[in-house]
Amino acid sequence: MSAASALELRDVRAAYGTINVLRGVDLAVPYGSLVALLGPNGGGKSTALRVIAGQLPTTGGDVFVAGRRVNGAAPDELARRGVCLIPEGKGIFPNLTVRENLWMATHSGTSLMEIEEIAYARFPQLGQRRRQLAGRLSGGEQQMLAMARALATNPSLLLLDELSMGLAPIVVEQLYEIVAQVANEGVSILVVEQFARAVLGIVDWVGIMLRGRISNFGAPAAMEAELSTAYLGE
Amino acid sequence: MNLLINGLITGAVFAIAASGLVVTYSTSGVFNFAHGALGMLCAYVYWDLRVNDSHTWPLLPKGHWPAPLALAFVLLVFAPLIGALLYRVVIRGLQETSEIVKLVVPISVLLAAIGLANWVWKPTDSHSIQPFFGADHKVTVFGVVLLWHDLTILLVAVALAIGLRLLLYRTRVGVSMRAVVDDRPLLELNGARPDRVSLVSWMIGVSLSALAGILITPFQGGSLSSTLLTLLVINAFAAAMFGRLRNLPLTFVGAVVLGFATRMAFERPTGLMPKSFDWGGNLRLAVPMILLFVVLLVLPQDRLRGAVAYRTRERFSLPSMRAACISGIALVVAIFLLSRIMAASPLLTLSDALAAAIIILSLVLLVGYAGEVSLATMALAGIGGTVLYHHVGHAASSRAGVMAFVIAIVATAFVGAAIALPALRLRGLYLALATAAFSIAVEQMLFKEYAAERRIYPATLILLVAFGCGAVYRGFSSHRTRGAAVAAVGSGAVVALAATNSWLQRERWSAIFPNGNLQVPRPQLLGIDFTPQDNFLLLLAVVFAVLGVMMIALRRSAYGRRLTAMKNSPAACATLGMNIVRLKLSVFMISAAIAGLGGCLFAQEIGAVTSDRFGLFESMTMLMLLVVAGAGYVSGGLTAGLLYGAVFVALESIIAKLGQDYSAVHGVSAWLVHFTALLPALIGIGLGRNPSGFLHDAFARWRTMMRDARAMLVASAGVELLVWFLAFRHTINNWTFAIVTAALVVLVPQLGSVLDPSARRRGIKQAVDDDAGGAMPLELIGIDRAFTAQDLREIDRGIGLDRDLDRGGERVRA
Amino acid sequence: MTGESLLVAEHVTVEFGGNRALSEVDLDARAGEVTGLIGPNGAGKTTLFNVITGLLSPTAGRIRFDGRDVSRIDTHKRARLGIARTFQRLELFTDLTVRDNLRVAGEIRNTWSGFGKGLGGRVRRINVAHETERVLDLIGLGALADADVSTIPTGTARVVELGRALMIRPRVLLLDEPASGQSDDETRAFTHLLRRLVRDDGLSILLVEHDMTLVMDVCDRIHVLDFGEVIAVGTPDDVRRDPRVHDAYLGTSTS
Repeated sequence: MSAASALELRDVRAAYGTINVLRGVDLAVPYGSLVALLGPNGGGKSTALRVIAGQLPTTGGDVFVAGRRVNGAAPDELARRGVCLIPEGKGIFPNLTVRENLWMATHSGTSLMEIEEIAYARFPQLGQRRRQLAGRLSGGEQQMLAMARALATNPSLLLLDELSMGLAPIVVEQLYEIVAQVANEGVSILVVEQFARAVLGIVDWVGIMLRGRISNFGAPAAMEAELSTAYLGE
Repeated sequence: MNLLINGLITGAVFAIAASGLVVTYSTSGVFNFAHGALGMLCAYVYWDLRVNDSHTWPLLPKGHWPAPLALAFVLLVFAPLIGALLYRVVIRGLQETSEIVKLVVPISVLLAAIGLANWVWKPTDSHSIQPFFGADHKVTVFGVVLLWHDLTILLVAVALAIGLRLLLYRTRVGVSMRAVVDDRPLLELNGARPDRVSLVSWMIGVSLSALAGILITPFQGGSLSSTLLTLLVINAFAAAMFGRLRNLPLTFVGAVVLGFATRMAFERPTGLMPKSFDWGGNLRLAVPMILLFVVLLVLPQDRLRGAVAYRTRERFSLPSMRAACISGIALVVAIFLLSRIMAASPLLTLSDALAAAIIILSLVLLVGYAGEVSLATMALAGIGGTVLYHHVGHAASSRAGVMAFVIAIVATAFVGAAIALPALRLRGLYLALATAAFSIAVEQMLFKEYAAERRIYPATLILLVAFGCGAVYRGFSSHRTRGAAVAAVGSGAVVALAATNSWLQRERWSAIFPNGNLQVPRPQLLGIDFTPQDNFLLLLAVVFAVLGVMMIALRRSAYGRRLTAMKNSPAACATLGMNIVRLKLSVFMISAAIAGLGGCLFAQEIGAVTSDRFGLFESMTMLMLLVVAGAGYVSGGLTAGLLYGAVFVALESIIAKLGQDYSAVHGVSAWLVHFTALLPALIGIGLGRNPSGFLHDAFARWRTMMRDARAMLVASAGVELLVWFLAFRHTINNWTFAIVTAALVVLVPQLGSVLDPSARRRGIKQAVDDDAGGAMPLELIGIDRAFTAQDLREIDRGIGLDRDLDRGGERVRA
Repeated sequence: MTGESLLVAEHVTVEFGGNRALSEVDLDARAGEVTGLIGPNGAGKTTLFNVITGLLSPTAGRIRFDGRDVSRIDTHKRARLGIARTFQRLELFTDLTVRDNLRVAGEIRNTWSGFGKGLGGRVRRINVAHETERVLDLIGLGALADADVSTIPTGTARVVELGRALMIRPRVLLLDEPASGQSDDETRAFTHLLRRLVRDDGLSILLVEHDMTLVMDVCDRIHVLDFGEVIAVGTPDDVRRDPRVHDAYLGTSTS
């Protein structure tokens, strides 16, 4: 096992009942790097994240986080170990206020005061809305809140699932700028994204997922042509 | 003023009871039917500490505890402990089970709590709790004399409202509770343990139920009763429904509305009801239920359309017609042979069981085949019996003929339709609550009616007409037909009731329910008098066998397939052009008809229709036993009937007899007798482990036997016949016969799997071949090892029930 | 007959508590053609299907079928007019065998009473047993007919759903991601089957699918949905070349 990777998947398989969704995924996220998993729907990208975060058991292969095999660990256990998943489109509790949302992050061990400080420093907008229900925030602010919650707990591995879901392109751009910034600060990040162009400019590596496998892996520049084929056929 | 203040206090009582219900339901998704029963149990414990100086609690000091100390112990130690235990052992396992299991298990807890209370605190003794500050501390507010206790209730309710608010908004565990409601998996991703949060909420919930129990008892007159308090808290369901079981402020509003409504019925507004009118009192008891019914209908429901109503995981295999007919004949023959050797009292017990089994068949259709649920089974059965009585009369010489049965069955079918119409858009828990409400209303208003006057009163009239119109309104989906149907039913109901009214005044009925019970005569059919017990038993066996075969034929027919289709996926059915409303209505009617027939026979068997044999708890017990045995099987109905009417009764009497015969085991036997009374409920609680019921596994074993060890079956049948013959000739006594029979029934299938391990191995190998991945094949989970929540999730995904697979679809459901 | 508008959505808007899932969507599925409906995840495709079949009421807009406004009638009555569908999340009757899944659909059809001018008065009853065998044969599942549907793989289950929908002899068939969970071979066979249904039985099909090879292969025309709006309509080639479609799938370029 290479201790050089924050995350490593070896021949990981997973299934929803009889539907095999992951059919042998190999992937490594080096420390401090920003890796994107791209590809059309149904390829298994989000499933891969769910497996890493412990929400779905593997049916084969191994998952290593910081060199330790974590197959079978519960999501809350992984969360306390610093693996932080922001699930697709619902990373917040809509009926809790912004402050209460951040409060929930204290389950990972950081104090509320500290979390609020970090969060509002990075996202001043949230500071102004701390007493508002999270469900009433705009889509972009909701994603910010989800990220704020995640970042405030000092994650070692951040997993972002479809950050752009339902958001205007300009907002998506802003969010990924923040992601790039966070990556520069040394956090290892794995991004799953359907809208490839949103992330091609900022990531270190790109993997394309098709039918439950990584069909291509490489530097972003080399992947652009592959992507068109992957999405719209030859 | 009196009304205002008393209404407010009654409302406060309901608020206290309902708030705990909301806390537990919203954080665990399991509706705690046992809420009131647990409160009752805690109130008894409080009584033990406070009043009973000879209580036998280990470690706890004897003597009268001061009220604050006793209160603190019950609310802060005992109740939370029960809550924690309940959550850990029972409720947590329910998270991923089907809706029917989620319903039945808490019902089992309720029945267990009542059983336990009746065991420890004999119902015949008096247990009374004095009001706080005594009965003579009174205060006059706006001219109304109130006990300090009443004020305490009011204060506690207010404190509770504030306290819960603070808890849920100002503490991390409280906010976590709200977060669990919002998004359980996300909370887990946050590093929290949702399980612990739910555990805490159950501890709080049971503590609140204890508070309610202790406060309400003196308010209700001070005397503790296992059922009264349980029922009273069921009334609080109506308040909780105002907030759709999730919203606390609305629940408090609902509680106050409920309080006023109950008080108003109690105060008997003049003109609407007669002065010497006992319905008034009964109506008061029924008001919360009527309100619950109304609230259920008015509140927007999760729409049926687009939603999969029942996510069943239970699997039922279907016997062939040939097997069904053979089994039917075998049953009748077996019962006949048994009746030849049985003494009078077991004969009676067996008849009870068979009559109950016939009623339970109505649930096999409704629950097992159609995936619906009902807690009004016995209410319908009682209506069947009542109609029969009024058709036949109760003279010693009168006998029920075919016509009487037909009328009773048809009448019950229509009543069934009347419940079904409003219930058509309800499902799962809401349907269970609505039918429970109906059941209590019938129990309180009809089966306990002693009215001397021959009139149907304006209040009743308005109620019934409004009910009918509402029912029809909810039942019809398109606007055009709705209006016409409401008008038709409304005017029809007025005319019918007016006619009934004038007829009542003329006719021989002094009341629908004179003297609190109806003596129902036995039938005379085809010239045979079925009054003698052995004849009647045989009739019951024949009726059950015929009905059972008909049920299987029905399940195998196109109609049965449509029911199964509706149970599996209403949305798919609708997109194939099925009129779901009509199919549901028909299945409720057929089920009610069976319940009606069963009710007639059951009433004839036990001799009368009485409120305690046809009440909600009986319906609950039957539903529970059926689901435990296997709701999709006719034999599940038979087994449930036997369990309900005979097995536990027999066990009890056997153990009691042993105690009498051998004084050495007297103490143990007394203990066992009580334990046996609890047994059915305990079995129900364990149901979460095996949602298909235990018969499913038993059948699998029998099938293996049939295939691989037929000779052994024949041999054991031969042994059984031989033993019967010996018993018949009095060579051996019936005890020996019973023991040998029981041994054969239990051991033979076990032997089968021991003798033929190759079958098992074959099955496993094949399944492993199917799944190259090497993980436990889904088909074998639950056979080779127990279910876990994870397995259930996997299976859900396997059969396409996973929600996350389709975002679009989920939105529709939201 | 072929080429006329059969199923039309007009300005359909759906809001879920302030969120617009669909806004002013127009869609036109023509008789005897395969109409594709594609778009990124969350674009509102399944929502539109639910509106068309009546499982969901739109906030605004209308659905027309064969020239008749069906917006206000119940799901089961729309089915009786000839609109059938499959589900992305399989909605099979899991307690029944493959054959009985088909059979019960035919039996449901036989319970239809005379409804709708579109079908010319009373619906003629079908011989269910005969029809079941015919459809089983057509979809190529004769060998699996007695299998429990809960035991068959997803790819096959999707074919069973198709067969079940065919049992009510629809005029238009809505397929929601029929190829997801299917192997490449299964998808090829499925493509072949769709072509046959259109060519031989004159069935019209509205297809939601992510497998672009399948979509581009069988569709006569394609609607592209993004953020609940139709952003492009045209032949497969038109759509493939449309820069807006590329943007929708790949995201607007950040560079």
